Amino acid sequence: MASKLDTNRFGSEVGLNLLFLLGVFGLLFLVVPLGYLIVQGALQPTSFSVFSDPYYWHVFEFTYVQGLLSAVLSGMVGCLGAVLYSELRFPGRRFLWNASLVCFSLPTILVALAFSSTWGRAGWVSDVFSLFGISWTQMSRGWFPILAAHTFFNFPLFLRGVGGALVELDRTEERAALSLGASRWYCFFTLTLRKIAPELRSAFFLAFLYCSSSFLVVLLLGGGPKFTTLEVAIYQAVKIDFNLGIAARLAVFQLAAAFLIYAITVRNPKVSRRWSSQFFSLYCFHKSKLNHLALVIFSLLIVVLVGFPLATLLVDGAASLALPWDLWWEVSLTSLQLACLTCLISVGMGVLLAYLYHHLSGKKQRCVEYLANLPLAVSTLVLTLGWILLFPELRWEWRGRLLPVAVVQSMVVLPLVYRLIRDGFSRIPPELLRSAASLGASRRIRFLRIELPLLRRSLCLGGLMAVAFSFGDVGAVILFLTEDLMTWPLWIFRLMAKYEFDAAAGAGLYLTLWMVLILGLMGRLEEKERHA
Amino acid sequence: MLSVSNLKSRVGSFELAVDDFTVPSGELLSVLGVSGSGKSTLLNVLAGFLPMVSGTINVGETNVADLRPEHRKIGVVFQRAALFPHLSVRQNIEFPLKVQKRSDFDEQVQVWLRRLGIEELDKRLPHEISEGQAQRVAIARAFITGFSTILMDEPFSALDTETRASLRDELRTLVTETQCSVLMVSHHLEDAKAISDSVMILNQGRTQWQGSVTDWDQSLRQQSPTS
Repeated sequence: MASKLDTNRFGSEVGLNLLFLLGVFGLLFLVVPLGYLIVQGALQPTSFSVFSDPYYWHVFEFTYVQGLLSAVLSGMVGCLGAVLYSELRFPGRRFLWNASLVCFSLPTILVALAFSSTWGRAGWVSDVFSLFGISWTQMSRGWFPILAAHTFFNFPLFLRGVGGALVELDRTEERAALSLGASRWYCFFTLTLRKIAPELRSAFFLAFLYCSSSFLVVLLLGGGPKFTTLEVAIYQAVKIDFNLGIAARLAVFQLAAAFLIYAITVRNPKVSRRWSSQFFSLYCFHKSKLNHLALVIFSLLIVVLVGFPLATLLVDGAASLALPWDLWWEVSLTSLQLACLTCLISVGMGVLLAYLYHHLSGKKQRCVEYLANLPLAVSTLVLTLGWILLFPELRWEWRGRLLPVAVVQSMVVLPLVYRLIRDGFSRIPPELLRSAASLGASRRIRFLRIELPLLRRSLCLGGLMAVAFSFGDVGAVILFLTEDLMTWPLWIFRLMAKYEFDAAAGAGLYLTLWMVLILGLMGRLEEKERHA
Repeated sequence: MLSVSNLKSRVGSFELAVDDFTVPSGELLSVLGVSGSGKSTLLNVLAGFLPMVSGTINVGETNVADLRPEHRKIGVVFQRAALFPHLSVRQNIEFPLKVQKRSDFDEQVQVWLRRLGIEELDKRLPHEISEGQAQRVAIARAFITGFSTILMDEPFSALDTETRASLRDELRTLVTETQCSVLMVSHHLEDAKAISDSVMILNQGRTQWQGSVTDWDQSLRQQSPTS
């Protein structure tokens, strides 16, 4: 009722329609290159030639098998953590919750670097094993580091999604069942599991989506053609083979699969659930030995998967911090300039789309929601390829320019920024806008004087999200930027490619510090938003 | 003067069709009824927040039924004050004057702050004042517009008995002094009796009873000798 009150007769429909057209125009920067990429990749006579090549069959197979395994492993670690987090009060519980956000948000290049320095051939684990005469080389590249790094990134999806739901879901039925003599296992599988199924399903498909479109982790930790995902194959086709046709065909396949997975992820079956602010621990008892064992196993997993790599990144980085000041400044400045551009474009688009979502209704509202979330299934590498295919002559002219990179990054981060701002809009009580209208304020004044000031935290959060994304992205910069214009991740990537791991660790620590600053600010803002 | 005729509106399956009514200048009409009787729907339709199927809404001589809320010149006071949380008390009150681009807003705000006894609160933010004080600010903000019609949606429901009584008296004085036409939605018989000139009782979206407060009081006494 409230939203209807706000939409039906509030201000001119013409103005809203113009804004709607503006929003659609903005999204053309995403839709046109992707459309052209699909035309080039799927509608040519030779489009399906990749399927006859055994190498690409192996790439398809590896992409989705490792995606599936990574999602399952992430689910196992994350769900164990979620159950422990929701049922037990243990030291470091709050820290685990906050640290999991850091794991999810760290740039891929840093995680690849951390895993390489820990579990890689030149890493300290290899040194420890060699002391006992055991060769670690077999494990230093390939399946183990890839799956471990993917688990590092994706276990928070399960921990936060499923754990959050377990804490907040109403457990009256479970308490009734237990009081009637049902066993805890029976209760969990027949009642609780059904309630948390939407979070579990969503986390699994998201993890599968992220892992199957993995690029840097596989490129840097895989080690050879045997370990090539579709994204890596696309990168190699563009950058090494200069074969844009193959790249387009692979990208179309990647896009189709990603959209399919995304469609399954967002499909929202109607599940009737009640939420409660009162939590009852039902399945774990503090004195049970099984709980202690589960807690020990989970702690060990976190130490091995998260603690070791992060500690190595910090220790190695601190030992190699010596960096020429002018170089540090140049890389930081380029990263900041790019991040600011990305922030401006994505927040501008995010505000426009979120505003439209809140002031339109029916089909147009659904259209806005669909369009704004469209880039969730698109990677920066694939979108950059779309732009390169669309304007091949500009590929060289654009090299070394920040604007096209910022446009690509803005489009890909848009769903995250849009969601933060959309949620900010929904927190504004509708009475305030009705009150302002009854006092004579037009739609423009209501937006500028009421909505915009009340959105300030959401805007800052969205902006910081865009900055964090831009600081960590490699997909767009790797195809556009040159040696003389480098961002932190690109620089680390180049150092790692030259096997200069010490220098890469030093640069990695600087990037980590930037990320800590950005994520810290985001955390503080989120906290304030919650209290407000 | 506010006069409404042939008003019909539909929200989902709920249909509102009230008899014609008029609120003369300087008078207060209370709209009473149980929950779901259509009181708030009527207020939202009059303010322009909900569409109407047919009818006319005259503010003075102008039919505002087809105008957008911001052009109707009908002020609204909400149940929970609906003060803008990022603006101070003073900024909340001067908001409509700034929207109207009036230059005398400083003096006007001072007058209204004094009139409602909230001078010392002018720099405070809405979360720093009590609900009674917030409702005073909301009333000042609605009356300062200079609009001839004000709608009130259960303005006293969140207040304690003492604050309620004093604010009720102040509102009555304001209506007489400003000669505004005020329509107040309420489910509190005491409020209606204390300050209204006339009463309209709604039931399932239809007018069940309409008349002066004296007639209503009399009919109540006839129905229940102990009341």
